[in-house]
Amino acid sequence: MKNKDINILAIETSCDETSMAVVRNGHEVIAMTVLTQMDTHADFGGVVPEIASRMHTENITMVLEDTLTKANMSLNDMDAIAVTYAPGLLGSLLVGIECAKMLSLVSEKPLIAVNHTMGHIFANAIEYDMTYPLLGLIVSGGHTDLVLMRSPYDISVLGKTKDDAIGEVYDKVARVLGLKYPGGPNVDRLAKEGEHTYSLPKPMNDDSFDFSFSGLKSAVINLVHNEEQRGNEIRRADLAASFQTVAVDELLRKVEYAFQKTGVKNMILAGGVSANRYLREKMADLAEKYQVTFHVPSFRYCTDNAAMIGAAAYPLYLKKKFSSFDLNAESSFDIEKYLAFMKNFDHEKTDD
Amino acid sequence: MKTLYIDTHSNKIAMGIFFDGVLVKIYEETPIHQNSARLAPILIAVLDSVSLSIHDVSDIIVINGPGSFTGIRLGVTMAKTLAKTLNIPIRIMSSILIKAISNEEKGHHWFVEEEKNGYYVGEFNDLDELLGEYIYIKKVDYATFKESRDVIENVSLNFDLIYAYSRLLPPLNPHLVNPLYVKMIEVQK
Repeated sequence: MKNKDINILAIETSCDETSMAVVRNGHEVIAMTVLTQMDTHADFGGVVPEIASRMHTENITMVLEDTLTKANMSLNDMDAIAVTYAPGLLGSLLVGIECAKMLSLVSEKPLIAVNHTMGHIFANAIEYDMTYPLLGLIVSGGHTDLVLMRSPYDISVLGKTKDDAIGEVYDKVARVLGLKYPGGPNVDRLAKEGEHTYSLPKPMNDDSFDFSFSGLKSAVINLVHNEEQRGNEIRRADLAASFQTVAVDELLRKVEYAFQKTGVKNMILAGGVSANRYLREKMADLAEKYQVTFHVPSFRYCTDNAAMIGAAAYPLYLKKKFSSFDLNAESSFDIEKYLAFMKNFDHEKTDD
Repeated sequence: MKTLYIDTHSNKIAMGIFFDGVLVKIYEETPIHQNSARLAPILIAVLDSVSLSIHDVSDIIVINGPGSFTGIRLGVTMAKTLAKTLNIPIRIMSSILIKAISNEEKGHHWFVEEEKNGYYVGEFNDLDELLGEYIYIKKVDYATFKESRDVIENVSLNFDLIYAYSRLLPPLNPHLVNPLYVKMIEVQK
């Protein structure tokens, strides 16, 4: 007999997107709405937290109505309400959490707190079967983590950034190159028009799985300032290409090392920077070389969206890992602490 | 008629229930920390205390500011989500209006809502109508502001009068219920 379908209404408001989605059985996106504030924040050169929070409150019920209308479902058709609780902008997270609590109260369905970074990982589950064990590279404005997943609940951190996250460095480089927010995609686009002609230092040239990008970031900033002081013209496209080549090479080098050391044959890319075309191409080439099955979410699931939160909530639903109404937002996130917590559920019976 | 009253504009959270216009429960709490985590538990406790489920609530009054940005944002998010999903009327009242309504000596007065660095103020006539708009006065300018105006600073809330006034207000589409911030944020100045 076919198991009952599990429909989860998911909410994501951790930064500047107000998003809701109905996700069935952890992978089928029945409907999704993403209302981005990108144009508003572009005027300020980056996300303004107070404006982001205000806009979430303004839009939250409209996004709810739109999502349920598109799904042709009501709140009563849901089996759980999932919401991002960390990491992110506190004020923004709180709006989504408060809305989720009220939806849970009205529908009398359980509340599931989802970690945003786990959401990015499980974005892959929407379009692909996640076959374990797998290596995951999480690349975003807040994270550069290389993880080994043996199950949805058993995840170890192999390496992480010692300083700046890769997405943060892309944004900083975009700023010194005079590119508009959001910086990452603009660096990627500009890099396509240039050649790797500038000499930049290789970051973290060691045999660990850890990353370091602050040296590379400083080198780009210093190069631009020095050239400006000398009155030399900066070949912006070439500098973008040089930076991108060195940064992505470093990511690839650590992933290649992990392929060699672990022998794992499945790999996923996750996080906002996984939308970077150059990184996607290079990672696919590397996976092919090692005959590793490689998946990366479609562009719509790389950036912040509620579907990935619904996908990540599903394993928690199966373990009945529900939250109480005193759930609070957390701006920061210690991945190792979280994974140790998740591991507790690995041996529990799955109620499916 | 079971009316839910939500006021989260200051560090003191207040939630209450009116039965046919009579206040049967008002719960006030000033959490030491994590105010936001307390909102839903307080709501549930208030409903439990009068043996109601959220589905018994027939309309909502929410205080939409001015006051703590986070406080009004979360109170309004709660209220508009409930109004939308329960399909019930929602009315907004300002944190200063409820003071004007509660003040028994009617006339032309200014009422204030204090916050960390200043005061939100509004001028009301003897019909409790706001004259002009709410404005924000920094603490350093407040003494001068007060000199030439009839300012009433301390008013005990009268929930009978607040409820009666709320009946004169039209219910709003929940999508259009938003916080009243008054103060612009730095980057917008």
